[in-house]
Amino acid sequence: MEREGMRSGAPSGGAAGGAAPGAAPDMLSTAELARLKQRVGVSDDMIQALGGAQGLSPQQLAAIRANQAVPLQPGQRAQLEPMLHGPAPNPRDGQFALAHGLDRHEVVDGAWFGSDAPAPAPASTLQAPTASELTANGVVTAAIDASWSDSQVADATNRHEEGGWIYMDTTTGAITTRRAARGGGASINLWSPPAVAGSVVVGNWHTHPNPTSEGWEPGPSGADLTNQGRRNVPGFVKADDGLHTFGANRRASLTGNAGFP
Amino acid sequence: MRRRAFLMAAFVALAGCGERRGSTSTEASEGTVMTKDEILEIARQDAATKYRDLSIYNVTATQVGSEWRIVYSLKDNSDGGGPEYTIDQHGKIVSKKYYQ
Repeated sequence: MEREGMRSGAPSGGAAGGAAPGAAPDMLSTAELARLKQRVGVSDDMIQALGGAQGLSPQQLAAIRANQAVPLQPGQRAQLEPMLHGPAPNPRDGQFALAHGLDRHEVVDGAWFGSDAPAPAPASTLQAPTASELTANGVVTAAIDASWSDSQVADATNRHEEGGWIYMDTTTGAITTRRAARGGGASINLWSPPAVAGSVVVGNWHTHPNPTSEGWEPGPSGADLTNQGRRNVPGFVKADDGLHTFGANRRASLTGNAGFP
Repeated sequence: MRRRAFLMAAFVALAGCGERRGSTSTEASEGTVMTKDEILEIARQDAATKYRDLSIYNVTATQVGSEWRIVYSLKDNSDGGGPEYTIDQHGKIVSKKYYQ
């Protein structure tokens, strides 16, 4: 299901998308996604478990799970149109076309249309998102962007580090974030994530607001790398040259300590 | 007379030390070998131009051959970083990194 490796230490320009530079990808809006989920009645866990093997990208899976707008590949919208705007489905007649790559009989029999075939247990397939899935998640990118804005990077006197933690609801898979207390000019403490009911920490981030043009190193420091190695979740640093990813590729298990595992 | 000459020599020597302490890397005399404290002071002066609070760092100075390696590391376990320098024995900053 995982198609992209972690870009360790390498900055990226922002959320991954897959579209050609300059071309705005066709997006399945959050309203359309909600309508689709309601009409076909398939769970997020089922999509997560089976969608990747059937052609849905990690970015699409992460967006579907987080109820965010979904970037569509060419041709996918045409396949989704009957489900979005066609007549209400009969649970057993199988009249709707499926999204790109999804084979109704082989993949979703018993899930999308409620046949008698046993469905896989979704709880056993739920796992933490990878670093690349997190950087493609709208909730995460919005939180990081807000932190960057709050870091006052244009103000040489007051620029400072900001950061926070990324959580996943272990039942619904929903992604949420919490902000840490304001950091110093070149440091921030991220060791005390607050508890979020039903969720576990699956990542953390902070900003490096000091500019490379003034000789500052944009990427993670030695302390950043050491700390992240102990946290066992993906870490992200937002700097003026992009987003740096480091640490574990994903939280290994959703059980155990709800904070850092 | 001999005592007066001794005092004069001591005064000149002290004055020389004072000048060196206040010097920067570009002003350092290449013929003068600096002490560890003088090297640390050169690093501190540069670090203070970039970092607002140096009290949150531990500072280590390690001599490697004819150069000094000066590292500022956070006292607590926060994420972040401090400056790191390589300074030659004459006080010239050979390299520096500003971590954050």
